[in-house]
Amino acid sequence: FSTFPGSPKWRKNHISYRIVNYTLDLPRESVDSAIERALKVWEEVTPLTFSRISEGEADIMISFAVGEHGDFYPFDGVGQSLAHAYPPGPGFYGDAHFDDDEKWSLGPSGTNLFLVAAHELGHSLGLFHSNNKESLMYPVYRFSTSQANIRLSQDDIEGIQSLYGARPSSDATVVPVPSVSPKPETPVKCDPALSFDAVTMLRGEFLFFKDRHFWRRTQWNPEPEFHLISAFWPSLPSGLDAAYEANNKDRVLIFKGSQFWAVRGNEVQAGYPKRIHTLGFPPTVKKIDAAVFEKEKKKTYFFVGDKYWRFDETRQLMDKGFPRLITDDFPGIEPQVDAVLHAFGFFYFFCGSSQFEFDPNARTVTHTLKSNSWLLC
Amino acid sequence: CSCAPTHPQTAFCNSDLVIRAKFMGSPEIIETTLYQRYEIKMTKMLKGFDAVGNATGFRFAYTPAMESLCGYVHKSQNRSEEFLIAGRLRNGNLHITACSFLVPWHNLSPAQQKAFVKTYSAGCGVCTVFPCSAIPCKLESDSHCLWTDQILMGSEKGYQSDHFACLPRNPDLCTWQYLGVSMTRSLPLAKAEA
Repeated sequence: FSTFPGSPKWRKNHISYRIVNYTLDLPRESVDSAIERALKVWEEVTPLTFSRISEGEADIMISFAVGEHGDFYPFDGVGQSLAHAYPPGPGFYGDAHFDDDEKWSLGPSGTNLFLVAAHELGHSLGLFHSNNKESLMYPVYRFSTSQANIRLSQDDIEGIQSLYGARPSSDATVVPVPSVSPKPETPVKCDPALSFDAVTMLRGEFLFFKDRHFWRRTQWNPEPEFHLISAFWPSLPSGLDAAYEANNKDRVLIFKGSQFWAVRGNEVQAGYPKRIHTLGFPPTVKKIDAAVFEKEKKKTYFFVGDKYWRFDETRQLMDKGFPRLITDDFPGIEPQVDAVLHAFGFFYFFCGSSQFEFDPNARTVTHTLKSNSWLLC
Repeated sequence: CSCAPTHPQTAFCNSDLVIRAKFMGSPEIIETTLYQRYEIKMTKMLKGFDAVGNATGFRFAYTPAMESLCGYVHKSQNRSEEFLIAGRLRNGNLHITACSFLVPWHNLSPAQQKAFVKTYSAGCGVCTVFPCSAIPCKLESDSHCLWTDQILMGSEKGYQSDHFACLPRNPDLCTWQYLGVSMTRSLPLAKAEA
């Protein structure tokens, strides 16, 4: 990423915008919603909030124009430049202009307003172009089929957070992605010392989380894919503690520190993060080591230190009689597990670079494996 | 600034001026107009003879001072490297933007070099390169050629960009035509640049 010379930015977190006029290519409500969604892309990963005003001078004035349009930078008819925008500041600064000689659309044909607006508003917030082709701030327009759920690249996120910081969570002790921390190294899947932060299923796929990344192993492709967490869920933190799929509700719950998030596919659900204590943990529990859902019994097991809790997903309550000692019910499993997976009738406990296959009926460890045995090493 | 991906033929046809030139150094800011200009040395003109009239050529290429306003940023330090510049003529000056087709001449395929000199002009005003941005896509007119590089190759610099031009085949019909040696002319490929 890059920022403008001198790194201009808004000196406030609440920014107003106004849609001054409209293109005839689209209904007004569609323009309103495309702009709103484009701002939301940036809102999700920063402390910034946006509000729309309908008259007067807003920080970001959005307009459609053809050819010469009052600044010194005339548009050029169909094609070539589609839009331009000014960096943050007073007056015309921050404003975004769209070339109305383009055919604006909401879908794949023509020029997708949402995608271009998300890019231009990146300029309005202080981002320059990126050389990274995957970045939203790459200057050449490209329609992407996943435009409804646009994915900011890590480059975009680092860029905007270098100016404004990350979105504060309700718990001040948890900072999702510290903007100035040194970059953790990229994990290597066949490193014999590899351990995982969290492991879960998601709609039949296996996800293995490590620092800022995760591997995704699908049924169709034995070769695991490797992604940034932020590429799928921009508002999630890195360095997770635990994750499990409540697949009776098509939700994956993701834990870090005293907070948890619910995601459905690649959407983080509204109303999250919540505090883990709302699940029934005592205040002494500050974080969860691992979590796993057993779908036959609709129970979730939470592992914390040398104890575990059992949560009833149907009643949404902790079962009575917990916590219990891990060694009492899972003999052979040491305290402080990193992650647990339930698959093929077994529990797989991940502890550092080792993995223990536990048969719940025989109540014994049946195999000891390397943690990365799932990643085709 | 957002740029539409552009097939070189579209760039050629939509430009007032297409020249080959060398960049002579860093840009100078022209403060009053928020533009900057690069000193260039024109080596060849490929399009725009009418527009220029008696002028001997262009000494400067003007561009917005800011990248987000589509200002062009020249990254090469090499003053002897020759570039193809497809620009606009405004107030007698050559204007370029971040969205202009502007590449090192020697990065163009021999077919493209030949086409800039000769072939693309045959399609201007008659044929349209029509970008396909998502599948399914369809032609809207017989004078359109469906451009699929971005969707199939993941980049606007694909096979149709490198080797094809959208040219009239018979009245009211345009088709992709291969820019190889066996086309209308029979020049040796390596020496195709005039």
